[in-house]
Amino acid sequence: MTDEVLDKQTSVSKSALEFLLQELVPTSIRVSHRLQDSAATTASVLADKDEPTVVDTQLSSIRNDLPGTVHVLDSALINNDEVTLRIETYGYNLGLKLAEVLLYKNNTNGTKIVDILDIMKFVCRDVWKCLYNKQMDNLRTNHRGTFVLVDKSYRSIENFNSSKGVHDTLAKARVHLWFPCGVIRGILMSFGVESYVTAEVTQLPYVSFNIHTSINN
Amino acid sequence: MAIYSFFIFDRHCNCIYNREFTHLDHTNGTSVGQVNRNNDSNTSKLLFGILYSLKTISSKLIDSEESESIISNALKSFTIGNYRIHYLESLTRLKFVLVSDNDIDNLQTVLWELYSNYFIRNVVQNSLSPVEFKQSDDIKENETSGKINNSNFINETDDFLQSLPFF
Repeated sequence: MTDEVLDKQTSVSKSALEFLLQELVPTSIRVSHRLQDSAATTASVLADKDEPTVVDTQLSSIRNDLPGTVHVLDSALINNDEVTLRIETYGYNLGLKLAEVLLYKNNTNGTKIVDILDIMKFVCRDVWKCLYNKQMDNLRTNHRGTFVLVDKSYRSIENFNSSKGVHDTLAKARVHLWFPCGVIRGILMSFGVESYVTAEVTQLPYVSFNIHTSINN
Repeated sequence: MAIYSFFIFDRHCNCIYNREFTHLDHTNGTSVGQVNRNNDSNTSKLLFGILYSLKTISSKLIDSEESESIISNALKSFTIGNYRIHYLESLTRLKFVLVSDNDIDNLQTVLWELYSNYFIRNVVQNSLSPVEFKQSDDIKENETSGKINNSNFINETDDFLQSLPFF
C-alpha cells in the first residue's frame, strides 16, 4: 500500500523555505545579466567556472555582487519584464502542480469545487495553508470576474526593511510578489480559468492580490 | 544606572553597528544619540582590540575540557574606570557589546535578546539587508553599506534598550 502524497510530509523549516524563496529574485536578475553579457560579447566574460563559490566569488557582472550582500537588488534590471516574468513563471509552474496534489487529497475529504468562487476559496484556504500555514484574511469579488484576496501579513516579505527607506523597501518587495501571483495564476489555470493576477502592497506586510478573470459569477 | 553605547562587530573585525546614547533629558524619557557615526573611530578599534585580547587570554585560562561554546563565551564583562563592558559572542563570531556604568552587573540576557530576536529578525530574515558586511575597497565611498542601517533594526533595538529599567 502506498502512502498518500501529503501524508508523507513531515515538516520543512519555515526559515529554510523563506530563504530559498528569497533567492528567486536575485537569481532571476543574475540570469538576465548573464544572458545580456553573453549576447554583448561573443566570448563570454564569465566563462563557465568549476570552482565552488567562496565568500569573494563575484556572482554576476553586477558591481560588488558578492555572496551575502544585496547589491544585486540595486540592478537596473530589477523591474525588467524578463526578470519578473521568470519569477512569475516559477510560481505558475508550482501552482499547476500544487493544485493537482491538493485536489487529489481533497477528493477524499469530499470537498466540492463547482464554481469560480469555490476555486477562490480553495486558493484562500487550502493553497495558502499549504504554502504559508495560514489562510487568506479576506476575499472580495465584484461578481464580474474580478476578485481581491487579502493577506494582512504575507510571510515572505514581513521582515523586509531596506536601509534606503520605505519607498525602496516597497519597490523591492513588489518584485518578490510576482512569485505568489504566479502561484495563484497556475492554480486557476489548472481549473481551466485564464486569469491575470497582480499584487498590491502599500504597507508591509499587508498584501492584496487582484485577480481578473473573464468569468462572470 | 545607565547604558552608554551598543556595538556589533562582525567576524572580519569590522564594527557593523554602533549606537551611542546621550543621557541628557531624563525628564521625558527620551534620549538622543548617534547611530553608526563612530564605527571606524579609535574608541571602536581599541574596544575591539581589548575584547579580542581578553577573550583569547581568558579562553586559555579556562580548563580545556570545557565545551567549545563555553570557551567562546568565557568573557562576559569587565570594568574599566567608570565603565563596564558587557560582551556576548555568537558561534558565528558576531560580537555584541554593551557599555554601561558600574552599577549594572549582568547584561547577558539583554545581549542574547539583541542577537536572538532583533538581529535575526531584522538582519538575517530581512532579505533586503546584507548578512555579509565585508567590503571591497572600491565601495568604501558608500557610507551606508558595510553597516546595519535599516530603520526597523535601529528603532526596535532602541525601543528595547530604552524600555529597560536600568537604561
